[in-house]
Amino acid sequence: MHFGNYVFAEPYLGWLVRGILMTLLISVVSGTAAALLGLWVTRLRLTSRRGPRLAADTFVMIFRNLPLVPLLLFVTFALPRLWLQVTGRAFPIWADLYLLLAVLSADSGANFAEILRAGVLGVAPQQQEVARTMGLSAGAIRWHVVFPQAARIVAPALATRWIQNMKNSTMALVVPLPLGLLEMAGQAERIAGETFSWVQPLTAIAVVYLLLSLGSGWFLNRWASRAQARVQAGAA
Amino acid sequence: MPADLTTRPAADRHPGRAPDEPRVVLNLDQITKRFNERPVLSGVSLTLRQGEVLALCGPSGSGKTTVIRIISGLAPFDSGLCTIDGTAVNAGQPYPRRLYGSVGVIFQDACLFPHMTVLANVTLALRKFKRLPAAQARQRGIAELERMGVAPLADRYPATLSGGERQRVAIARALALDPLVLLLDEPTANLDPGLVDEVCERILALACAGTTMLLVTHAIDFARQAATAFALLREGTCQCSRDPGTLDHLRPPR
Repeated sequence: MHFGNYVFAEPYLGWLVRGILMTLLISVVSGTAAALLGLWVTRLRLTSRRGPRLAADTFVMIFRNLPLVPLLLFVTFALPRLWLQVTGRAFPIWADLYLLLAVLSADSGANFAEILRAGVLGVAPQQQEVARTMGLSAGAIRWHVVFPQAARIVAPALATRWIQNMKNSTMALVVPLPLGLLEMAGQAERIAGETFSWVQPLTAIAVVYLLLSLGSGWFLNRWASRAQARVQAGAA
Repeated sequence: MPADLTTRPAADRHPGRAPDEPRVVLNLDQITKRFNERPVLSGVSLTLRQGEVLALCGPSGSGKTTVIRIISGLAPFDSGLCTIDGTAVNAGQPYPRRLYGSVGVIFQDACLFPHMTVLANVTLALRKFKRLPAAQARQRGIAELERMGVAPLADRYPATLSGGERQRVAIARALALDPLVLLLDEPTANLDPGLVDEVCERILALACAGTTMLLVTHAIDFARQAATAFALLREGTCQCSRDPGTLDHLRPPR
């Protein structure tokens, strides 16, 4: 059987490398943004003020319950048309990449927020009380006492969701990105389209995805188990 | 326990001092508190002067912990007046800002922050509340840990400490803020018998050094050693006295 040695030939190898870099870029940028967003949303959900709490709850409700693909189709196809009708101007071509990053960040951010909320509820209430008797402000208690412990308690769940976010970068397939900005799966499809060989590029990206998932999983699990060792044994 | 601390009656530790000479640090006047219509405290009054140690005893569920939570601003109360260092805490009002960090509380569990080293536990409030520079906070933290005999543990995490060590770190953490009064809520109740003495010894040393303390405890003998005044909390009210015999009512009938 002959599949043709396309993947390691130019220009296909270059496309693939470009795709790998784009996948890394998309997952790291959206993952980091999602982590910050998740923290901020968790903070809002735990305040006593009704307005911000309601807004944060609604955000989590929407993005945890809507599937990614229709969401991406909506923001990259429906939204520009709405925009054109309302303002009379077209979306710039590069906007699609930012919309993709925004949707991935919102999706993972909502999930991070839900995981973190569970972690916050898992921190012993006395921890906050003792911090209050030490004169710490509500903000200081959150940043130095509650959130660090909450993140450690749910560290394995956060690590899993981070990897899920990396895999979600393939959702870029439904977004009309310029060829140079295609991520790994998009580049594999492009190579297959040019060469009519599907087996090689798809096998190649499967190997890269496995390496990325297992590699980051190894690091994250090490972080998670170290982080947990402290909070679990040191509950008293 | 060292002999010189345990054999001396508490009253002898402040020889020749008139009982009403030092200023009043903490005064509770007819404090009442209900939990869902069930009265827990129905008129608790007590007075604690500077340098005194007041032992607060009472049967389980009599509201000892509630008294501590009210004084430290962790629980609201329904009526009465709580005065700390001349600042009034009123029923239903927010805890006065001036008192933040000036009432040290030691819980039954040490409640150390598990994600921080021992030293970071002690210096957290010095850095984030008192706004001391890191080096100064560190110096102060080490000094307090030394006083409690746990300075060698400064870089360890709470999970690796024994219960007694944790409780001593918790005391150092509270003392680092130089509180007006230290409230101890059964500090040895959760410790193995072998670890109780090392904590009691430190509390006695603090008492000798003139630290103002409100000590909630079930250990009557320890209360008699450490305290200069005694209060018995029963059926929502409190009798205060300088007579150690006040606590006799707690003794189980033989």
